[in-house]
Amino acid sequence: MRGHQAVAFRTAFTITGDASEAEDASQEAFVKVYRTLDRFRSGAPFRPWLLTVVANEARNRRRAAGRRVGLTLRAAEYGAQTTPPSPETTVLAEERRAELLGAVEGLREEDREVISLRYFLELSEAEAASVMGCARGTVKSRLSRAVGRLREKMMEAQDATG
Amino acid sequence: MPPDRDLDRELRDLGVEYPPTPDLAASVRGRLEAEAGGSGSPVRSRPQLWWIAAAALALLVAVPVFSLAMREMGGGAFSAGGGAAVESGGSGGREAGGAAGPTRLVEEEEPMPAVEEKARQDGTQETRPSMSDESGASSASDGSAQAACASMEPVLEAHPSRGAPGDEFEIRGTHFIAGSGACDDTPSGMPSRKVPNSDVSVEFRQDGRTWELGSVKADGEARIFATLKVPSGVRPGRAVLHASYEQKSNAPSYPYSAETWFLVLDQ
Repeated sequence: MRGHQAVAFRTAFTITGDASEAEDASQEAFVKVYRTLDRFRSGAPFRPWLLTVVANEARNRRRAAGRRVGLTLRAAEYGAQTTPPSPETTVLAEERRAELLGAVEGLREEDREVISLRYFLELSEAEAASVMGCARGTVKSRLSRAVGRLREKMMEAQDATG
Repeated sequence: MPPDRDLDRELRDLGVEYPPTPDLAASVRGRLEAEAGGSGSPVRSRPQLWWIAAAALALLVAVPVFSLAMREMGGGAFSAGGGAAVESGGSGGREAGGAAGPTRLVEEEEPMPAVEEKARQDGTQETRPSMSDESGASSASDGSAQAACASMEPVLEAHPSRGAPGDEFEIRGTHFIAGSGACDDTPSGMPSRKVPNSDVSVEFRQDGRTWELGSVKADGEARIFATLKVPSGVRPGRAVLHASYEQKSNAPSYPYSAETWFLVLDQ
C-alpha cells in the first residue's frame, strides 16, 4: 500500500485540487479497495484498479463540494540537477517554467487533468484511461488537443508580453 | 514558440511539486482496525450461507404446503357430512353440528354470544388452534429447528487481521461443534447437545497456495483460540484464514469450515 499511496494521493489531488480532500478521497479509496479485494481479478494489474477507485472517490468529493477546481501547481526546484546552471540560465529557466505552469493552470479542467496525469504523474495511457474513465485512444486524442490549447495559451502570453 | 515536441519535453521535465503525501497506510490501517474492533465482521464461508438460504426456502415451502394439505383433510370431513366439522383458518375454532349445514359462511352469520363477542373484540378470547394452525405451528417449529441447526455454524476471526510474515496473531472461533443435538438426535424442544473438542485444522491460503498452521482443539463451549504466526513465504496482499473440521457424530460426517480475511503486509 505504501508503494501506491503517493500516486493515489496525487491523482486525487489532481482531481480535487485540495490536499485535504485528496487525503480523504485516497484514504476512502484504499478502504474500499481493501473491502472489495475478493472481487479483484487475480493476475490483473492492481494500480489501474486502485486509481479508478481513487478517481471516482475524488470526483464524488469534488461534485459534493460543488466548486470548480483551481489547481495550484508548483515546479520543483533545481536542486536535483547534477550540474549547477549559471544564474542567468536559472532565471530564464525559472521564468519559462513559471510561464508554462501558469498556462497549464489556466487550461480547462479536462485538459489540465489529462496533462497532469500523463506528464506530471507519468501514468501510462492505460492508467490514465482508468482514471478518466475512457478508452486509451480517447486519452491520446484528448492529450493532443490539450497540448495544442496549451501551446495557444503560451503564444497568447508571449504576444501579450511583447 | 517551440514545436510540440519541445513542449512535450518541457512538460515532462517540469517536475511539478505536489503537497507532501500523508501517511495513508497508517490512517487506513487505524481505521480498519477500529472498524474490526467495533463490529468484527468475519467472512462467512459460502457453504454456510447456502445452508441458511436452504433452511429459509424449506420453511417457506413447507408451511403453505402442509397447511393446504391439512385444509384438504378438513374439507374431506365436511363432505362426509356426519362428524364434527372444524373451522379452518379462524382463531375461534368453533364446532358446528352436522345437521346445521356445514358451511363456514352460515356459521359466521349465526349470532355470537355476547361474552364471546366481547372477548373476541378485546382480543382476550382463549384461542384453540385449528388443525391448520397446529400444522403451521408444527412447521414453524420444524423450521426454527432447522434454522437453529443452520445457525450453529462456526465463525472465525483473526486479531489483528493483518500482519507481516513472522508476525503473531490470534484466532478466535465460536460454534466449532463436533455434533449438535438440534441437528441430530436431541428431542425437539431440548437444548442442543454440544459435542466440542473436535480437531480444527487451520490453514493460511493465498493465490491457490496453502500453508498448514496446525490443529486446534475446541474448548467445552465449542470455541477455539490460538496464537499463530503469519507463515513466511506469503506475499503482501489478501489471504484467507481457513478453519475446518468434520462433524463426526453424524453419519455421514459433514465437513464444516469458517473463513476470514487476512491482509499480509510488507515486512
